[in-house]
Amino acid sequence: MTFCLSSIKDEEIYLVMASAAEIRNKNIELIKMLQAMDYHVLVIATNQPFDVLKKNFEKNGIPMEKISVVDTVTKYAMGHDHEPESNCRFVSNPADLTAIGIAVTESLAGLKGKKVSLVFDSVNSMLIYISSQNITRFIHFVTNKLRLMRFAGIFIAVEKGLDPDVLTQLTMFVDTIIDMDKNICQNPEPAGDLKV
Amino acid sequence: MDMVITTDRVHALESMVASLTELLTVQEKVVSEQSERIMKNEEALRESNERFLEFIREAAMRLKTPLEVVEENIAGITSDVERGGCDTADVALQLKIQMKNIEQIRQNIIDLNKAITEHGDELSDATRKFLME
Repeated sequence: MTFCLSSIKDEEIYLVMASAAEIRNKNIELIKMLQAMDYHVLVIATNQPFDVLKKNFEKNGIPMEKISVVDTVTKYAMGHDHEPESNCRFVSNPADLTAIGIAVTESLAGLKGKKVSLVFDSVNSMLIYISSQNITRFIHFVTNKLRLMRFAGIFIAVEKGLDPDVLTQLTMFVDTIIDMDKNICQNPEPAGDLKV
Repeated sequence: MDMVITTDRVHALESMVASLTELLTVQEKVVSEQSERIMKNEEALRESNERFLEFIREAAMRLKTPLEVVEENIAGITSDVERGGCDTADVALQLKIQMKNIEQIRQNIIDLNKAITEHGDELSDATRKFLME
């Protein structure tokens, strides 16, 4: 585990950037680490379906008891409802930010009182269905919710896939930016500390 | 006689000066209106260019990034299949998601082409039709 990820603090919000090829493995690594820190993890899955995530988690020794998922792709791809799952909310369409917002709000409300971290996987896959302006607004909405509820949050993104202006806007909503390829943690504030 | 001619000349000159002053005033007004129009056009052009650049940036991000996402997803599915032990239903579902992603990327390209054709007056009807289909 890299130094940056292991230094994740309670109630803080992070933007984690990795290369496109690494992102799949990194989210497993990240969730494993969060569970080791006793977090209940709420995964916003915009790229991988719940069934596949569940199997990957189990294969990697991640117990599902402390995982909740908001799945935005399964129902849309299958064209019909998935069998109900106790720890997953299926959203009909990945472009429906209102429905995703409601599912996130309800899931977070259900976890009140627990030590929670949200993992948003990923900003880039959302760009298929939603404009960058609406994604930015949505992330602002989610980060506000997390701060009000004093939860932690991790937003995963592929740096090279984002316009620099969009990236700058996203960094304004988070406390720390982690570049997993370079193993750099950076505070987005001008006088922020830089740890390598 | 000379005196009369001089007075006439003075009057004529005064009249010419008055005409020239009037002409100058009209020219100043025209130049001022033209420069105001040029400034407004330049402003409109600048705003239009800014909107166009913003649109191009968004379009590039919404085409390049999604294609990379699909590429990496398919690479991941392929590697899972090659390693063996994959559930067929899971593989099918993941491929369906990629098909939906590609459908949406195609729609994003059509939207981009639509925006280009709306602003590209010099495009032929055949090119417009090709871009929109």
